[in-house]
Amino acid sequence: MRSLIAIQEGQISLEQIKALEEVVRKLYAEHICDDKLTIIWNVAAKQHTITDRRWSRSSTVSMEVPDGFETQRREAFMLEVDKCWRKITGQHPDQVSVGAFDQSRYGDILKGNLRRLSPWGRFTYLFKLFSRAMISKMRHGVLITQFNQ
Amino acid sequence: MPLYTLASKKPFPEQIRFDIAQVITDVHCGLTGAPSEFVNVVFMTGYSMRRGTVLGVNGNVRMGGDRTAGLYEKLNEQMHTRISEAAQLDKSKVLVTLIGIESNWVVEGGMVLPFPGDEADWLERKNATHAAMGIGPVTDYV
Repeated sequence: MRSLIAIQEGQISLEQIKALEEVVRKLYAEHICDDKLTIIWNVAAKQHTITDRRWSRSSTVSMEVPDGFETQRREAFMLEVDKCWRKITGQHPDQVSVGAFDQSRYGDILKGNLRRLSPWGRFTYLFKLFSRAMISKMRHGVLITQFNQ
Repeated sequence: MPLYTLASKKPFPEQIRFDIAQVITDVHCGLTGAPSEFVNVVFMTGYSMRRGTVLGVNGNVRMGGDRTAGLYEKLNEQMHTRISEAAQLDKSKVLVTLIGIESNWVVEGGMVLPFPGDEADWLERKNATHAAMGIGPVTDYV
């Protein structure tokens, strides 16, 4: 299973990222399933994200869950992730978005993201994403990459 | 939600990025009735785009409720026109793709998002909940 988390440059410390990742993994295993969860952190450069018409300080957590996952359990999971996330980061509730998408739809979203790129663009995007994430994993223990190449 | 991600090879100047985001917010809220606080826009740069495309816009938007297929068509069409104008690009250079998402797959503001059309009640409940918790409006914008 996959999770992409978008955060703003300089907003959340490495220690907080590690604590957040631990919480997300724990809650995912408790509420969703024991499948391996690959979490990739995507950092947006300053002045590259806008929420409610203003430069943003928001975080977006997205995860895939098995298709047709029960609504009540899905909602309980997202609310718990949101609550724990804000406890660690101190962010305002309006600055945190948590999504748990059916696996097939999540695949559609990721495919849609790649479809707008050229074949070379897809290759370089995936290459940069994985090489940066792997370097980050070796250095910091978590997979961190950037929106802006 | 909605979350609009915009990919391009070269970065747009800051003012143009800001203008594009305003246009996206105008069109989205104008057509769907969603509150502007729901609208997120992310700019991604350094990507080699598919042939003929300079700017690729992907929007993940809530589906169901009072939204019809016709509304999504209109949303796509107006996004295409207005974003092209704001980005100062020919329409043929801009690609817009919308993907529908169930509203109860996302939590924002500490609550599960409402079905399209139920935003007013949801906002009232959210503001009351935040007030009861002593939480004011967002103040730490960049």
